[in-house]
Amino acid sequence: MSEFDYEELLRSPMDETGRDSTPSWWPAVAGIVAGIVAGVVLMTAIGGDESTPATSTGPTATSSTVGVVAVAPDYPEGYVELAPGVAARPEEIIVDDNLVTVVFTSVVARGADAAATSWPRGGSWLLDTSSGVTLQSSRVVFGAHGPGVFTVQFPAANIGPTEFDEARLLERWDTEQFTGATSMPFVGEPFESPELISIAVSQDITLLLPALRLGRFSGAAEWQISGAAFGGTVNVIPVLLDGDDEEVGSYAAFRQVREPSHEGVLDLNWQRDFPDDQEGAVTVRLEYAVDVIELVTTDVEVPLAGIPVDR
Amino acid sequence: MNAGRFGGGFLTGVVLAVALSGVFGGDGPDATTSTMPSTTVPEPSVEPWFLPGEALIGATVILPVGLEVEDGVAFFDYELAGLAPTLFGGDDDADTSVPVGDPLELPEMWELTTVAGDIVPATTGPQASSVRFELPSGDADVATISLVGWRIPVPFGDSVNLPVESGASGRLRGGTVTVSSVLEQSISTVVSIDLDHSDVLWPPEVALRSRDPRWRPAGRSGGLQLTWEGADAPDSIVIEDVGYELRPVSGSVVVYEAAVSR
Repeated sequence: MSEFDYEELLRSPMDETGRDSTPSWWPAVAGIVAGIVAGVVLMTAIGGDESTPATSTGPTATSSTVGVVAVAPDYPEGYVELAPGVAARPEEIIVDDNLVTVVFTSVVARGADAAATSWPRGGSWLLDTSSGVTLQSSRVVFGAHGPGVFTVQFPAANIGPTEFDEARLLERWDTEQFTGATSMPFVGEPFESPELISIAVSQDITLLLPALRLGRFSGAAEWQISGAAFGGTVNVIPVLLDGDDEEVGSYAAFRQVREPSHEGVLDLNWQRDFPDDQEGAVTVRLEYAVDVIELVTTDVEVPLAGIPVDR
Repeated sequence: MNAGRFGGGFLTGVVLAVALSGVFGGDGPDATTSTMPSTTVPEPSVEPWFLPGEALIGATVILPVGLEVEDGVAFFDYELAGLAPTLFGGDDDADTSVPVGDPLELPEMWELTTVAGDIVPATTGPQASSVRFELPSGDADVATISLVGWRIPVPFGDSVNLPVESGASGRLRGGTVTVSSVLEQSISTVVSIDLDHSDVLWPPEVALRSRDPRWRPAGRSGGLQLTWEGADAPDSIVIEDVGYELRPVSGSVVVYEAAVSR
């Protein structure tokens, strides 16, 4: 067997110069080898997070400890923002003979003070059904016993076994609040305001109190709002003062979520325990808060798929 | 010149390595994932609203306080915190009728699962802060505790137009209202209205009122008394009931896991 002359085969014309005894192919081969090594290192680095756990059989590689990304959504799952800082989620759809009621719960945004955030006041809703019929809301009902829960009523005669696709909030009722106080002489109970009380709470809006009655244990204030296109709600707190402007006592209305109106009556209760009465009072300071409805156009869609339906 | 050859070879090597890893290593992640006992894909966790270990049910957070097992009975203590907005418009320092920050969802139906797989049900009332489970044996270990049913106080409003005449009646969501008496006087009219909700499965809390505020209400057990001042009382009254029902909700939310709590 003859010995194959590799040197001859690989000889380059450049070798004839004698300037370099190193074979000419060496740099390319060395480069390829180095490149492969670098490539392997590179791929290992890129894929390290995936490949490393594969070789581990220990208990440390769990989803709770490796690469967990903590997320902090603004609202719990399923809640859709209705107004800045307040979101709602449908909980149930109740179908009666002439009425479809959608039950919502609401929450404040993460980190917000729930006790310092007002309830959503209501709005105008549409209810889309799978049969193509769209129902329009007639009323939004709030309850003093369920914080943040409200129901939206949709009149519907014999809606049938249709499904409900989504509820759309077209118009939200925000409120602008006006507060202040006015005073009048108090001549003892039973007290009745001698004339219509008219209070300009803003340039356009006037609070009228056609009647104010203050008795030993209770009282009432009839109210009207003029100049507010969509009405509002009113609260009045009569505070009795003595001759030195020191407080003798006050009346307060039972707090409830009131639906907007242009008129109403507040039933008042004396806030001091028996036998403390109105003795010594010479002035009524009438503290008021008027929340006027402002309509805000919205385009909020709340999906209803999967929401329980009680027929 | 050698540097150029080395550089070209280097790049070729890198490309070869990457290409070969794609050819031979392409199935790697799937293959390794299938053999892993736990997932290797990081899943995002949700930061707690109040405390780690809490469980979220809609607008209410259950905060586990403790689990005590003794003589075959397990007591799970918890607190509730609400995320629902509770401020009324504007006023209201004097009111005490609505506790601020109250939970919305009220726990009712629970299930405890033992390590052996036994399921123990229990129920609680709206005011409870502890649930009691009778374990199947004295040495049973608790694996998980889940809330599987709760109630929401759902407000409703309904109305009916009642003629001002004795015996007139109408149906409201909260029951049947009937005019029991009409007392017409020279300067006023007094109407008494009864509410019967004996046929309502879950009697709601109801507040009857007239839609017309000129009918002055007075407290009356089992109904409503309305007074119209003057001789011009209308022939009918629109009566509203505004109340709430404790509507049941089904679900399953794990509120305690032994493996996590240890």
